[in-house]
Amino acid sequence: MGNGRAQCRRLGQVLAEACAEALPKPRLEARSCAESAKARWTVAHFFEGVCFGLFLSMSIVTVQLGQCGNQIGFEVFDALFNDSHCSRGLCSKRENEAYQASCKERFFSEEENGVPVARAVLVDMEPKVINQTLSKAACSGRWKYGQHSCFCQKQGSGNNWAYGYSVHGPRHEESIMNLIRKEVEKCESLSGFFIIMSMAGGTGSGLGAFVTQNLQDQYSSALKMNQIIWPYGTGEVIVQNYNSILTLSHLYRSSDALLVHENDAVHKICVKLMNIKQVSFCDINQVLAHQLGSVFQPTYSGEGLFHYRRNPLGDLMENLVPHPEFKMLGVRNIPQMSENSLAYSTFTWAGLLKHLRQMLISNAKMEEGIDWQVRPPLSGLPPLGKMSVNKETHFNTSIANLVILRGKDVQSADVGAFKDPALYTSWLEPVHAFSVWKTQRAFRKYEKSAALVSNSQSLVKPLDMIVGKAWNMFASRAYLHQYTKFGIEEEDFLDSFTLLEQVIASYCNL
Amino acid sequence: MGRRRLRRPDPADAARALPEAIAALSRTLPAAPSPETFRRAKFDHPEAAPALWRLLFRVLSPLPADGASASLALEAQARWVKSALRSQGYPRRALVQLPDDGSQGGRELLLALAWLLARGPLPERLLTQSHVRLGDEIPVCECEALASPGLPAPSVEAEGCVDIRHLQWLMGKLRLQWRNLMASQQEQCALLGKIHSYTRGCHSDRSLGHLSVTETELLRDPEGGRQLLRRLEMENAQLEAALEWRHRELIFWQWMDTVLDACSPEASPLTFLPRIPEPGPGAARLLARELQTLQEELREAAEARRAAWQAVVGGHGPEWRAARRALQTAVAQDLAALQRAWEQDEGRARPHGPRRLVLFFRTRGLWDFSSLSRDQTCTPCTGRSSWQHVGSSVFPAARRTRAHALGARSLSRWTSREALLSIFITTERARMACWLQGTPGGPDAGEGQWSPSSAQTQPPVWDQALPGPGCEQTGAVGAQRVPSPSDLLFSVRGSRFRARRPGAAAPSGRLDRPRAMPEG
Repeated sequence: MGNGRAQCRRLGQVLAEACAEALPKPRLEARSCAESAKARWTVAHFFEGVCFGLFLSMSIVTVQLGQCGNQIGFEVFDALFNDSHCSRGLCSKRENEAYQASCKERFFSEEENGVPVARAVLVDMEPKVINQTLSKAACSGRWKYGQHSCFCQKQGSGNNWAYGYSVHGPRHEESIMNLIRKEVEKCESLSGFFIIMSMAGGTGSGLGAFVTQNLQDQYSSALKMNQIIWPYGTGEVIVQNYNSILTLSHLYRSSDALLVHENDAVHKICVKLMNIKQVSFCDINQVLAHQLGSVFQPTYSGEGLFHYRRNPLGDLMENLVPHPEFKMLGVRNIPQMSENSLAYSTFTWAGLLKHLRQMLISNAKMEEGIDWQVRPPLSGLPPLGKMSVNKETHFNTSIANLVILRGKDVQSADVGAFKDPALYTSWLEPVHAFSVWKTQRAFRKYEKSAALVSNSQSLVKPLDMIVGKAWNMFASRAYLHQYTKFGIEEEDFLDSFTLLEQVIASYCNL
Repeated sequence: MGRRRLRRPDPADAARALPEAIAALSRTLPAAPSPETFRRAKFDHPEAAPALWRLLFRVLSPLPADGASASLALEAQARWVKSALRSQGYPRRALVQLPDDGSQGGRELLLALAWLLARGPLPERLLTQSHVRLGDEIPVCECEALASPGLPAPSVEAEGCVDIRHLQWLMGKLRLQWRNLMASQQEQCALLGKIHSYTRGCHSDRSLGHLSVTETELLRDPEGGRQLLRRLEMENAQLEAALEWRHRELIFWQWMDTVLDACSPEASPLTFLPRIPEPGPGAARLLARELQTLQEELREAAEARRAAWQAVVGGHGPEWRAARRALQTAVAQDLAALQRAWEQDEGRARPHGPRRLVLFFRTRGLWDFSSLSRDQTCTPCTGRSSWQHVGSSVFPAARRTRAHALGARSLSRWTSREALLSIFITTERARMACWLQGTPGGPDAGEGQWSPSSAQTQPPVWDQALPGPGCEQTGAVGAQRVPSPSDLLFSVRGSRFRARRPGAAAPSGRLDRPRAMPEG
C-alpha cells in the first residue's frame, strides 16, 4: 500500500506533465436576473435605475455553508457594510458615495423599508448557528439577511464528509438550489458565487462540494469562488484529512478558484499582531473578514480612471486563475494590527510594499517574523537551476499576483518590485502574471493598506502534508467504512489522491 | 461588372465624368477622402499614401471605427492593413513590400482598394455597418455560414519553443473573458427587457408596441433629436452618393485600367504562391502513433469487456432480448425522424443579419397569436421577409427546468408565469442540442394536459419562447391553456418544434430519458 502512494504520485506527475486536464467546455446558459411582473415603477424611477445600473457593479451571491461558513459569512458582510459606511473614508463625499453604492450593489439588495439585505443563502444542517447568525445580523439593525434565505435541518453530518455529500446533498438539493435561484433572480446582473465553507468538516465541506458541483451544472458560466478554511494542523477531528482531500479534489473539478485561509496562520495573526490573549473563533473570523473585505471592496477599474470596477470577481479570476491546474489562492495583508496600536502608527507605501514583497517570497503569512534572507533566484538561470536554488532558500515562486492598494496617495505607490521576472514561473511574463488595483478610499481605519492575492507555491507544503497523512490512514484502511457506508468508495479516494498529487506536482514544477 | 458592357459612354463625357465618379465614390466611403487623393495616388505621389492607408484601415476593420482604433499610429494601421489584405487573399506582393511607416505606396493602395471594390459589394457593406439604428437590433444568424471555415486566422510564428502551460494560461484567460462577456450580454438583455416593458404602449406603431433604446433616449433628451436628424441627413447623403457611384462605376474602372498599366512590371514574382504546409515535427507524429496504439488497446479492452458482458446478460431470456430489440428500433426511428426534420430544415433559407428586437405582450389573459401575422408583428429592418426568432430564455439550467417542467410537456408549450427579462438567441443548432440533452416531453404527454395545480405548487420558471404565428398547434394550445399571469412574451418561430413532432410527440421523451425505457 505504501507503494500505492508512490504510484499515485507518479500517475499525478505523468498527468501533470502531459497537461492532460481538458478545459471544460463552456455551455450556453441563460439566466433570469429579476422579475418584472412586480415592477411597477414610474418611468422616471426606471431611468434612474438604468443610469446607475450601467455603472454599478455586478452582484455576487454568497453561499454560507455549515457552522464555519455561516459564522464567517456574517463577519464578512458585517465588515463590508461597516467599511462602506465608515465615516473616515479619507476621500471626497462623492467618491465615498460611489464606493458605497458599488459595494452595496455587489453584496446587498435593497428591501422596501430601506434596510440592505445581504445577497446570501445560509445553509446548515443544524439550526443553532443559523439562528445565532440571523439574530446577530438583525441586532446590528443596519443590514440583515433575507427572510426566506436560510435552510436548516435538525441533524448535522457528524464530521462525516460522505454524509454531507451523499446524504444531505441529494436529499435537500432541490430546496437549496431553489433558495439560490431566488437569490440569483434578485440580481440585476450576476457575476458569480462566493461559497464560504470549511474544508475538514462534514456539512460545510461535504454539502459544500455537492452544492458547488450543482452550481457548476446549473450556472456554468457564472464564476464560482470557494472560500475554504484549512483546518488546524493539530486538528480536533480524526478524519479531517480524509474530509480535506475529498473536499479539495471535488472543488478542483467544479470551482474556478479556491481562496484558502489556514486556521493556524490566522490564529498566529490574532496572537502576534492583534495582541489577543484568548483567541476565539470570532476573532479569527474577524481577521478573515478583514482580509476578504480588503480584497472585495471596490477599486478603480484602471490606472488613472476614477470609476469603480464592475466585475471584480471576474477580473480577479482572469488575472490569477486562468490555468485549470493552478487554482489555489492565498491572501496576505499589511498592515494588520489592533485598533489601539493603529492610532500610533504611520506607514509609507514603499515600506508596506517592501514588507509585502518579502512576505510573498519568503512565504510568510504575516508581517512579523519575515525571513529577510530569502532572495529571488538570479533570473537567467535555467529552470532546473532555479528549482534547486528554490529548495535551498525556500523561495516561494508565484504564478500570478494581484496587489490591491487602498488609501492616501495611492497613485504614488510604486509596485515595480513585484514586476521582477524572478518572482514568477518561467513560462509567464510579469505582464501577464502581475496586476495591481488601487483606490484612494481608505479601508476601515487604515490610512494606507495593501492586500496581496497570490497564486503561488505557498500552499504546496500544507497540501502535501494533508495528502500524506490521509494516505497513511487510507493505507491502513482506517475509518474507511464510515465513508463506504454512504457511497464514497475506495475508488473515489484514489481519484482524489491522484488529482491532488497532480496538483502538488504541477505546483512543484513551476 | 456586367454594367461595363451595357453602357459605353462617349470619351468626351468620360473626361468630365471621371472626377464626378471618383467624387461619388469618395463620398460613399468612410471619412470621405478628397478625390484629389485618388489622382495623386495614380502617380504614386507620397502625400496620397497616409490618407489611403487610413481609408483602407477603416474599410477593412470589421467594426465601425471608434475613437480607440482610429487613433492608432499610422504605422500600426499600415501593418494591420497589410495583414488583413493578405488574409483576405489579396495577391500582390508589392503591397507587402511597402514600408511600414505608411509614407509610400499610393498606387498600390489604390489597386488594393479597387480590388476590394471589385470583389464584393463594399459600399453596401459599409453603409449597413454605419447606418443609423432606430430600433434595438440584434444580429441573427441561423445560416450555415458559421460552420464553414472563415478566413484563415492570422497566425504568429513563435520564436523557440513555447511552454504549453503558457498556452493553457492564455486559453483559460480567453475562456474567462468569454464568460465575462456573456454576463455583460445577459445584463444588457435584462436592461433591454426593462426598457421594452416599461415603455410598453408608447409607440405610435401599434405592431411594435414599445420603444427602443434610441427612441427612449430621444424622449429624454430633445437635443438628441436634432443630432439624430443630422445623422440621418448624413446617411441620406451617403446613400445618394452610393447610388450615383453605381451609375458612374464604369468610368472608374476604365480609369483603373490606366492605373494598372502605369505599374512597372517587377522582376520578383508578383503574386503569392499558396504555401504548402510543412510536415509537423517528428514529436507530433510520435505522439499520434502512441495515441493510435492506445486507442487500439482501448478498443481491444472494450471489446473483451463487451463480450464478457454479453455472455453474462445473454442468459436473461427472450423477453430481455425482445425489449432490447424494441428499444433499438425505437431509437432508430427517432434518429430517422430527427434526421428528416433536420434535412427539411436544410432547404429553408435561414435568416442572417441584424433584426429589430420586438417584445410581445399578452393581452386579456389569453395568448393572442392567431391575430398576429408574421409581417404585422415583426418588422424586419432589412426588409427581408421572415422574422427570425428571438429566443428568450432565462434559465440556466436545463436540468432544473426539466424537473420543473411540469413533468412532461413539449418544449413549445412551456410558458412562463413570470415575465421574461433576458433575451438571447439560440441558434437552431443550439436548440437542437438542448433538446437532445433533455426534452421534458414524455410519451404520455398529451395535448393540453397542462395542469394548473402542479403549476401552482411549482411555478414553471423557464420562460420558453413560444412558437410564432404560422404554427396552428400553438394557437390551439394557447387558447386551451389556463391563463397565467405572465406579462410579456417573445415571439419565436416555432418551425423547429413543429418539425420535431412528426406525427406524434412520442420520440421526444425516449431519446434521452433512460427511465422511460422499457424495463426487462
